[in-house]
Amino acid sequence: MAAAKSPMKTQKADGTVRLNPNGDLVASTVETLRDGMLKALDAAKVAVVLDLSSSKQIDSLGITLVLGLFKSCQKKELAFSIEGANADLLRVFKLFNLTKFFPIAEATRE
Amino acid sequence: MSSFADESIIADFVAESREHLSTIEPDLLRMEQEGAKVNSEVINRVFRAIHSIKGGAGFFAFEALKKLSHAMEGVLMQVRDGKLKVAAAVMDVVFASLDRLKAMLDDIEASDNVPYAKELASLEAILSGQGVVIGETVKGHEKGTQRDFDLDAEIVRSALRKGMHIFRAIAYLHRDIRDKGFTPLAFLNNALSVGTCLDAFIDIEAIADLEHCLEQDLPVTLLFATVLEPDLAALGLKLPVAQVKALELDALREEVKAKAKPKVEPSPAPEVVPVIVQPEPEPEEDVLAEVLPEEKASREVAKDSGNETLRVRVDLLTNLMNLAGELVLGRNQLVRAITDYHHEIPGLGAILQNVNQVTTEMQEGIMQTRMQPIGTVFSRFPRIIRDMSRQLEKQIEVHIEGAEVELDKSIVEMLVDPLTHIIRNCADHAIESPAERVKVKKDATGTIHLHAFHEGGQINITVHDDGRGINAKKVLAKAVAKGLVTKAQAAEMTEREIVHLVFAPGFSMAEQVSEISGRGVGMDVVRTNVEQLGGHVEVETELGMGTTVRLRLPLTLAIIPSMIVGVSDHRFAIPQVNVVEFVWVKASEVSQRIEQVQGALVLRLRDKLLPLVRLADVLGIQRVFLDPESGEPKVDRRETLADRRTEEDKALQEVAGRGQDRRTDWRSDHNIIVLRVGKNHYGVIVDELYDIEEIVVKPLSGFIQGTKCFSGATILGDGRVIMILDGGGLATAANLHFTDLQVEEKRRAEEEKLNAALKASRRRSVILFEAALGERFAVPQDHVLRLERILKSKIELIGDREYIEYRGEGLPLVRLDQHMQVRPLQAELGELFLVIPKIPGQNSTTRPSGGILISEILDALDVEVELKPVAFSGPGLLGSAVVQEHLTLFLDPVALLKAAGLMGDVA
Repeated sequence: MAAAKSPMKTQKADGTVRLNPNGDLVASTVETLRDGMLKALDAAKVAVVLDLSSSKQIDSLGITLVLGLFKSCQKKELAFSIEGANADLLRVFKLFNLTKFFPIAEATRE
Repeated sequence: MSSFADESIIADFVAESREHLSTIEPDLLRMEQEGAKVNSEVINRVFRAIHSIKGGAGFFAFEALKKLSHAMEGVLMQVRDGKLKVAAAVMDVVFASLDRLKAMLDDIEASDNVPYAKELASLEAILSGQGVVIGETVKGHEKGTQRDFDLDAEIVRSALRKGMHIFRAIAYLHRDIRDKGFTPLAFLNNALSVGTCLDAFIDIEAIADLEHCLEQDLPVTLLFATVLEPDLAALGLKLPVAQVKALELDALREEVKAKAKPKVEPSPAPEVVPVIVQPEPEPEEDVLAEVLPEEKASREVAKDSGNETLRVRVDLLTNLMNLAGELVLGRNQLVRAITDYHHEIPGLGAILQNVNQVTTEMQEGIMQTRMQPIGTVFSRFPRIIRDMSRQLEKQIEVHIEGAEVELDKSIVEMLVDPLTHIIRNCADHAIESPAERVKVKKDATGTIHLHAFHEGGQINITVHDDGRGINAKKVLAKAVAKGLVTKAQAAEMTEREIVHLVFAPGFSMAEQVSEISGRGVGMDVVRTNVEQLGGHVEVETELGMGTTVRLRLPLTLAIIPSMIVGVSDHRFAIPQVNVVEFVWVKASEVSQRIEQVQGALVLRLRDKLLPLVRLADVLGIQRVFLDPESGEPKVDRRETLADRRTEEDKALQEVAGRGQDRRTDWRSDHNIIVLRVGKNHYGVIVDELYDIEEIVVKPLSGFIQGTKCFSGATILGDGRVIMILDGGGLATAANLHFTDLQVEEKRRAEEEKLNAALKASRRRSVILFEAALGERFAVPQDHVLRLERILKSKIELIGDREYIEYRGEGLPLVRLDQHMQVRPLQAELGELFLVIPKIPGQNSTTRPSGGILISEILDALDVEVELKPVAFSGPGLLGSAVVQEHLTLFLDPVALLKAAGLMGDVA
């Protein structure tokens, strides 16, 4: 229930918006996340950081969402990057060759 | 596991995978040894093998097997593509993963239970460290139907060199991935199991913004290389065929061909080559035709060999083998039963001959199907030694010779344990550390040489190391400490017996039980297994130089040619491989040829002592003999064959009229079969020698399996069930002590040598002469320099010594009567002779020290005499002997001169 209420944490600082989805980027969550992202995007002036440290999985719609977010950032001339991707997510992004479009940082381990 | 997967198909997959693994290991070792210089075909072989395993595992849904082989494939791909160096650490991980794959295949149904997380993590660490990102150099884009890609040229060349097809596949994120229940990761993993992903591309221009993106079904373009044909590739990728297109590669092929000769090395700054997608895929022949010639050739070879081999279950072969055995028995019985009807039924002989020949050929053919090269066992040792070398911090090389020598599959399998124990012992105990080896001026790298070869119808396997050898003293001390032998026994043991204590159960030289050895079961296993196979094992060692363990084994265990022998009314089979020769000893020659040494019967055979056993005695069968007079069999109560009667006894017996002695009767002739047990030979005395038959070995019933003397049973042509004798067991049961005989043989040889030396010492070449009339003397010819005739008038007296002018100088003279109790020379003689002794160490030009005056030279001759002491003593007097019927005194002229004080200047 908590996730439904707050599907994504948003932090804003110095024109950078940090989006931290509270779960996986899958079919059941993408719609809500997209709405949150659209709202947050208005506040971004410099960069958007998608923090995936709370996400374990991503499906086709999740990838489409990430790419849509990137495309919107591109249009608004905002820098876009991904942080906190776990190994599986990183592997998908790398295999789809997304690393050449935007920086993707791996989740740091203890 | 898939429900439709038939067990036999899985069994085939496992067998095939095991074969793949057996070929991988030597190739991996080669990769490690040769590093970057290794032939690319070696890497390809490994890659293909792992790829095949992964494919099968994926098909049958053996997840663990699939994941691990997939990760291995990833690492190997990087090695193949020159992105990863073959470092020892990388190979450690690959080898460890290989072991896991083996463990999974050992129990395929439980393969998912085999722990492999550590190996998988290590492989993935290698992969992520080197980067599995594909196509990082891509900077092209799609253009309408003719899409251009910029690819890493080296990767494309590498794929082409390996005969792969290169495809462009389009996968839509929704309909091809999501709607089919895949996650993107699962889809990509599957794609990677089908081929090598060269590039992936999403057209960023086509993506809608955040607001509308979710309604869009984005296409992802993949470029990948695979050995699969286009339709199979589409099937493998789980994509519609229309979305998978072959790429136009003519330009690249030309380039690859042009650059094929100078080996292309991975370039630090990869160049890019444009590739254009054509609407229609290329015909497969064209693709193959453009592949490099050697690749094509290897494919053709693979195709051909595929036609020539067929996978057959071992149990089927075993069954065929058993049936062939029964057929041989049936043939033998048939031949025996109808031999008498040869003349009555026309053509029967030819029919029998045909059946006989076909049966033999069929049996040989079936046996051939079970033959396997010993290399299948040998090939595992380089890996074992590699791992042990690293663990023990030693440098060890393995040399293999005769890997192609073939043995029955069951023997090959049973050799795995013994050979592994021997090899591990070599590495652990025998081969010294590099520092130790250098210290004793050996090469820092130790060598273990495995050699298999045929000899005398048997297979010989030797394992030789150039290590420290076995210290017999230490072995004995350890054996005594462990209570394996008593001190009394130890005192009588020969060095060979001591060294062979390493085979005793519980014996170990290791101070501590380690992972590798020290439990004292290894060499015991070696002997037990080898003996169970009807073989023999022995050790030869030289301290500081190395050790050789030699295994002698039969070629097959199932059907063996054997000698059928008889004792009393029993028959036995002796495998022909154990038979060295037959010896027939006439009853009349027994006293000369058979004797007793330390209570044991021996036959003197070509100057060697051959221990004898009487088969009847060993097996507890009542001995009988044919009475010379009645011809009836009677109980033989003689304890020993050796005829210990003297000639007088024999004469007395004849006088007493006891008739013909059976000891000399031809019916008491002895048939001796000389058997080989390892390096030793011994003779078995039997009553009858029958024929050589091919016998089918039947295992012994559990009740008599412990019997030492028998290795199995068989059925003869006449239907009789007989036992097969075990040469080694028979010798043990008879309590034969080969070493006692060796000692005796050595003693006799020494005695003979001594006698020969004594005889030689008695034989002398002498010069006979007289001093006073009738008094004869002899001097060894080799002690005489010259004999000279002189005139007595020329002798001059100076002081109390006589001289004569000899070659311009004064030569001092010696008279025998001045030094020993002999008569003086006759005063009336005007002419005398001089014996001028040869002084050892002086040559003929040296001035002589003196001369001995004599009256007459009688003869120069060879005599064989034994010198006896004489009643009086004198310098240089050796003794006396009768020569030419005269008592003659033998002199040492040099000693005489010395006594006369004429050797002052001679050492």
